[in-house]
Amino acid sequence: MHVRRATARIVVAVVAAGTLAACTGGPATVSAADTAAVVSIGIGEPTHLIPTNTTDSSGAQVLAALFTPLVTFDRNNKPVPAQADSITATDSRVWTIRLKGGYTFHNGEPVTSDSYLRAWNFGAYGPNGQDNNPYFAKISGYAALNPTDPKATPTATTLSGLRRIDALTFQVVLSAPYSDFPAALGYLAFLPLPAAAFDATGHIARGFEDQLVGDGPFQMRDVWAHDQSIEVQRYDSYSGTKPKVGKIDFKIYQDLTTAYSDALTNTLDVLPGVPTPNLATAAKDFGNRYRHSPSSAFQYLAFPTYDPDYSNVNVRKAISMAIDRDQIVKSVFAGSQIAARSFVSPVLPGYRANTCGAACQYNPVAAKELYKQSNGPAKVQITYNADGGHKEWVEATCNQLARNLGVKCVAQAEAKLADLLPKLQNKTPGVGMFRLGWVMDYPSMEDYLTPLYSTGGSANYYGYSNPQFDQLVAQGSQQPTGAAAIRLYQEAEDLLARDMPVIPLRFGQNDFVYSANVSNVSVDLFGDVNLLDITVSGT
Amino acid sequence: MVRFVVRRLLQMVIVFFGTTLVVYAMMFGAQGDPIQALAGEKPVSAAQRAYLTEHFHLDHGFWYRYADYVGGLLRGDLGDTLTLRPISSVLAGAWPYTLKLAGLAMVVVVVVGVGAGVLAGVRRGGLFDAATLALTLVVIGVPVVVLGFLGQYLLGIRLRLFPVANEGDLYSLILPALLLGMLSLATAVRLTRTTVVENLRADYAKTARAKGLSRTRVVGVHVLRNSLIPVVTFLGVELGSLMAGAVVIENIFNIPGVGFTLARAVRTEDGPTVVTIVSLLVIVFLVVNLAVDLLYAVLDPRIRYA
Repeated sequence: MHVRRATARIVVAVVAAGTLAACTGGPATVSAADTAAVVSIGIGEPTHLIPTNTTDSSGAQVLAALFTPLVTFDRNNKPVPAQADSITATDSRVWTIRLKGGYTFHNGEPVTSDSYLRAWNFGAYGPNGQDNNPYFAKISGYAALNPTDPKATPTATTLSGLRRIDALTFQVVLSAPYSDFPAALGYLAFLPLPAAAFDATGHIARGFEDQLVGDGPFQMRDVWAHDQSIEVQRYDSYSGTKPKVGKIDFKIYQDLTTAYSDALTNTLDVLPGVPTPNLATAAKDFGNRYRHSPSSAFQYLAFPTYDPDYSNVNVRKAISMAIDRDQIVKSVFAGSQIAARSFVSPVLPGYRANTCGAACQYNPVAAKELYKQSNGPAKVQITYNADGGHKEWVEATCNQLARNLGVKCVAQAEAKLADLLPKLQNKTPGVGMFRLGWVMDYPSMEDYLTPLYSTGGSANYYGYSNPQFDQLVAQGSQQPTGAAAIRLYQEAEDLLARDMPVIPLRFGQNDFVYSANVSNVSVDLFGDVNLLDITVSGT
Repeated sequence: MVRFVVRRLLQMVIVFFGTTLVVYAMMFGAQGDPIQALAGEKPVSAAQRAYLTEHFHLDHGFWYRYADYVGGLLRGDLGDTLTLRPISSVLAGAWPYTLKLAGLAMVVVVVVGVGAGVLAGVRRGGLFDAATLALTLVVIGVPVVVLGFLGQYLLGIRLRLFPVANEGDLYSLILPALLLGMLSLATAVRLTRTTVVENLRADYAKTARAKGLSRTRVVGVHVLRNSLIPVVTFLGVELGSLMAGAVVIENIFNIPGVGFTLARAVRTEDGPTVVTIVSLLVIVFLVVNLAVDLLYAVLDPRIRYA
């Protein structure tokens, strides 16, 4: 019951404060009060929890509690070994990964090379239908596991590029050199799985996903109560840094505004994403418990470069110059996002401000002149998906274009992104400009440049193709060091400023709120709450 | 009586298959790309797309998929959701919530609605009657969405009398049930009041009073029993709108019941789940209506079934 639970929390806080007072001066010890501390975090229902099949942020948040990745990221978002002891390569193609000893899964099974090889081979095998399957594409032998005809049976069941050296060492051979591979290893797809995860046929055992066994700082306390909660507790034999709270309840919400209300009444401790309707009042409701942190989200407006209306670079630049980014950030987003004037996110090593140059500076006079000179179309259209809360800013953008360029601008809604994407894929005429967004999988410029702008990139819906750009990115990937790679990536980014296939609009932030029950709350650039730092107030 | 029930059950079978066909066709027609809808903003991997396409026969035509679905139903297999959980286990988790919620709402409607209706009918023209008239008119005029958010804000966030969202216990279901029952409650009050007023004027009521029966007995037994027939009919039909209201209320209060599941399935274009839930709701509706029809005989022995 509501009232009873609130009282219980207060008691916990008092006991904790008492213990702390008793041992002031000494090193922080793990007290009984700590283990009793429960923190609740609001998430949505994850679609899946098998690491090779998890792509949504809710699932990622839960997996961050249950698993330890090979690498994590430091303050500058550079990869640092976590479960890996070392990740080395001679030529960026053959990587040797050595694991730290002493880590065990929650069922006692030690974490070995096999734990990784097993999970990766499962994820890479096409017929298993794992959503993170493409992340293994860089590893040698991927094609044999994923025939182009989806109905054909693959000729191999394991990646030829994976080789076990000893219990704690294995080798990964890539099909082409890739200097950012260590950063990629921080992604969910590359987590290990215990032998207990699989049944005799090599599939995930029935019921395993509901009672996941990982190798992380927390273990499942109970089975996954779908649509209600996922409850975890500290794993006592964990050999990495131990968390400061004993239990975490991931409470599942269908509607984030309900989660916000729960946080408002201190029923929910942390809500990592404030719903847009609540942004306006969040500062008043939560005071200094409403915080922001950098995120990798990137919102942009894309051109159908194959459409004669938008094939002229100067038309595209004029449209970009006619948009007052700062004004939209202020009026529509209440300052919760940041105006973007570069083609990659500021969280990345290698980011430079203002790479877009004059084309992204608001200059209505020059914009109108350039637009006239280059015979821009008299009517422009921005298509957006109505299921993502984009209506307001798209209409504001359209109004600015109409006013500053003297054109007619239509903001056209598609019910869902799922309706918009096929139209883009088929290059359906009449779509006009369209909005899209991107969130990285791991902090590397390449994770923006290849999917968004390279010829045939997985999210390149604008038909942009520049062989010189493709070559620079490919060369960058083959460099032996990250620094050398970044120099080439930056050269590639400069080409984007010249060609303007998309207009950078905004970089996102994580907006989060937390209750008075907890402190030391931080949210990383993936949008996950840092579970090792969080404490219950009073400890 | 038995023949009546059997005939009605047979009709139900036809209605059930008709419903599944219509709903399946509508979901089929409205469906864009369910796999992309599932993945949201991210592109779906080719491996997963191929896997789901095969699993759900998405590359086949309407009749093939419908026959496959009905075939599964006849074998007792409800199929899987797009996230590959068995629909039967999803429903097994969801029904208890909705039953509890609708049951609580129904209790509110019956106890408060009928009680207030009788009171207003007996004291026709009094202050209580006027007050309930005004209040019920206001409540009938407000949509359940507004009522839900308003109730959550005032009683949950402002006054903190109730939890603002489901916490898994019965206590946290009271506020949503109250709000859910509110709409039917208003109509129940109006309906009970009218029939009570009517029956109080009827000859048999006068006779009863003339025989020297107490007023409580006349109202409580003679009048009430006869007044209940239209009210029971109404309540049977109303269960349907309670289920519909549950879609809204369950979302506002984060109750993982049938309405919550249905809303998400519609959003993610999860055809099999939508069809199964809607069909089950139709069955519930039909069964309740049958029960209502049978109740008539209990309330009024003059009614016979053939």
